[in-house]
Amino acid sequence: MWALLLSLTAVVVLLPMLPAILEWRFPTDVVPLHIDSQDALDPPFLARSFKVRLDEAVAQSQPRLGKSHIAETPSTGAWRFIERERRTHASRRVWQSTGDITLPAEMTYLGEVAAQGSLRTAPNEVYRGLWAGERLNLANCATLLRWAHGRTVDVHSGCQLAGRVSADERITLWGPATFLLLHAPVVCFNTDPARAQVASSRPLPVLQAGLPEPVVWNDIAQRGTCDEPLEILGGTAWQGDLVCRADLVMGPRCTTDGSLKVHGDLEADAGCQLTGNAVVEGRIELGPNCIVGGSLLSETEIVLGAGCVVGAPGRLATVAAPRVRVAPGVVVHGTIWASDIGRTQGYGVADELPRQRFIGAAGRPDLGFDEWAETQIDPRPGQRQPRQYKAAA
Amino acid sequence: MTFVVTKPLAAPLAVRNALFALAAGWALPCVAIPMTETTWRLEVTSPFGAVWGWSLCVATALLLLLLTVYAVRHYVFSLNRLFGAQRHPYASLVSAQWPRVTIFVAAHNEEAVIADCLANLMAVDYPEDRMIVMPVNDRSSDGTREIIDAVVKKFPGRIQPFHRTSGKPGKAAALKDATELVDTDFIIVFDADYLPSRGLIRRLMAPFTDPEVGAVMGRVVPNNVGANLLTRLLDLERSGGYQVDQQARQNMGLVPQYGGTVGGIRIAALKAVGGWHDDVLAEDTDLTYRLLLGGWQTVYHNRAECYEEVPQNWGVRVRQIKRWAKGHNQAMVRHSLPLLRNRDIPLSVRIDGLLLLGVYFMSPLLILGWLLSLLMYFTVSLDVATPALLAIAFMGHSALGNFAAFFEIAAAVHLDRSRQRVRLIAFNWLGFIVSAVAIARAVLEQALLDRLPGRGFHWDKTVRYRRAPQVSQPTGLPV
Repeated sequence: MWALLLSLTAVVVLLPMLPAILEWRFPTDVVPLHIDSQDALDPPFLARSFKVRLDEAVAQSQPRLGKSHIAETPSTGAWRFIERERRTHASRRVWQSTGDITLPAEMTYLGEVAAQGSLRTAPNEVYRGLWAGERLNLANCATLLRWAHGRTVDVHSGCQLAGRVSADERITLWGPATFLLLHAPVVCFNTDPARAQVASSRPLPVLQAGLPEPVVWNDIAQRGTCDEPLEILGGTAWQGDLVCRADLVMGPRCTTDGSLKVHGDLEADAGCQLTGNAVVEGRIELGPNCIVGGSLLSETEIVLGAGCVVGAPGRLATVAAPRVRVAPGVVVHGTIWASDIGRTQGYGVADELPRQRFIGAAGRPDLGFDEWAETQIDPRPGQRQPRQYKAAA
Repeated sequence: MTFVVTKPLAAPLAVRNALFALAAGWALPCVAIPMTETTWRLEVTSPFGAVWGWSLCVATALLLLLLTVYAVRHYVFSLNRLFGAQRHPYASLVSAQWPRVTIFVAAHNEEAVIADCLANLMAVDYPEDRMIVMPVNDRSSDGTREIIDAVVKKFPGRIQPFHRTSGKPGKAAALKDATELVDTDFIIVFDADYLPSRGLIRRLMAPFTDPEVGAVMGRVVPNNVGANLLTRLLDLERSGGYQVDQQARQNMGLVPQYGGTVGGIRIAALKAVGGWHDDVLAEDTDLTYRLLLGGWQTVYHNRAECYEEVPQNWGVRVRQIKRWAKGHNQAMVRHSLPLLRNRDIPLSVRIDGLLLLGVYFMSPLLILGWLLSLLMYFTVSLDVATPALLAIAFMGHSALGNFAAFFEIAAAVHLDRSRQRVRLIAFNWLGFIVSAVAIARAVLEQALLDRLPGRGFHWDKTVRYRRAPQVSQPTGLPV
């Protein structure tokens, strides 16, 4: 009886240990956790990986890349779509060309498209991934699902860029658009980058040197700190970092040779210049023609006024926030990363993006925009109405 | 001794008794509580006298209170990671004018591992002209020097070795000397058994765009996880500690801890708080608190991950944790009061800072709690209800405090999406008991033996297990 009691007690005690004992004696999960060492810090990573794999597949005459068939685009004449593609107006094949491509209208590409030369999309269409060895031209109201890369990339009005867009030389957004990540040595918003270079080299007159009284300067730490809201008069110039543990307002044409940390919101009036970085827990709003040498990081929102320049040729910088709004004339050297949504503003009537034809309330694909509803604007008069869309698996 | 509360009770007796028993189970498990319609009578009797009985009661209640605070802290952190808003303010920094940085590789008799560490550093994607690697070879008596010199020849101009042949022993003293040779604005410190991944330096440097950041800490991931049960348990502990504990403190604006390796330091901040202190055993904890008191932030970057080698036998693990405990408790003694008095620091940060300083003191207190429970059981006069309350108290000691960290481990494994390994969590009590005993021994040694003439703090170097050069790290396939 005692033996039975003890045995049952032992069973009850050891029962919760059973999964542990099994995993210990018969391991199923013993490899070190994977460390991502490339992807997140290398925006063109997806595009370059795809191109390498495609080139290998083509060189070995493989019919497929992963699960997708590889198709050759026609050098002349009509595209050879299969019956299902013609019927559904959607191709899931990977298309590749050794020359230039102009993609036909009325066809959604849910497989990648790669061209050794230039690639021009059709308006109002949806693309999963686009690679161009030369110029990539995203026509009006095109939608990108995952990534696009080219030597130069031109984005026209109404595009919705839900994936990464990268370029070896330059990205230009010629009209209103929404975006997630733009990465190139020069990213222009409806402007000529040469104009920005002239602006960034312009010296500003100093009206007042030094920071106002609430700022406590520490020589060893090489920074000033301020624990209350701070308003700096226009034309003030100073050297060194500044940490403001409340809101910071900079008047017009303030100049600082250092970096900023702001616990509240940062508001810089027109023509301010900052050689370092600005890291802000609240919102960053730069007035027109501000010049920032380093990066801008916000935990809520960044608004770049018309003509602002971030970074410089050869000195790349990052503009990163959950929400980014950019006015025409802005030039960013490096990366703009809006983790929720980035959008243009200040384009007048054209600010209003047309609704994409495939985006219905029930059938829209997951484009990664948390605030999608906010970006949806009624279609222009005469625009085609949305059609139901079934996202790719 | 009788304590009479004359306040009349309004609730039904059964409900009152149940509520009181529940409350007593948490706070006063040892008190005999005869209850009447009109009074609370708390009786504590003991053959050793009322003072003995009440002392045990009060001590147990205080311990339970403290353990409850730590338990709540663990649960808050876990829930924050699972359901709260996450802060990764520097993770999106892709393009930047990266500053010059010196990378220290602290090495004392590290011939088995240092070549791998240096080779990995030579393969990182940080601009070569902005990165100087400085192996800090601290009085090694094995082949560490020759290995370093061989790597230096292989990568000319990229490595500036610092062979330290004399001076005060210890990592802090070696780093102090090495820092004198640095002409960059930032340093990053690795131990020699670490295997930095390709993007790690950029990730560690990203938070320094923020002029308020004095130190950055990355995440440590065990590389030899499959060696035996101990390494698998340590893998789980590391996950809980970094993926949940550190990141939750980062999310909540509390006190992420600089851990002495896989971390970066701003030289201006280091100088502003008095440089390295070479009389401490845990220079990392010491620096974390000096930076905090000096108005600098320490940032935890969960995506700055680096492989390390964890101990593969219990003896090494015990020595490692004893060293950590002594160093941490030393920092507790030094910094608790200044932290408490510093009104420039928000109250929540001060409280979290104090709780963090006290984590290595909880193990001896936990053991003390078990002892008190047993003493009370045998020496305090009991009525019918009290044995049940004592049982609750005993289980409370076991289930609260550091045991609540198991919830953190489960949450971390869930977040890491490597869910099969969580089955081993039932074995973590083993690691916990070993740690508790080791820490308690460390506290006793520190309080008593280390103060005797001829004794003192002794640095125990962690044994390395790697023998053959190995591949830099497991890498993922291109997407």
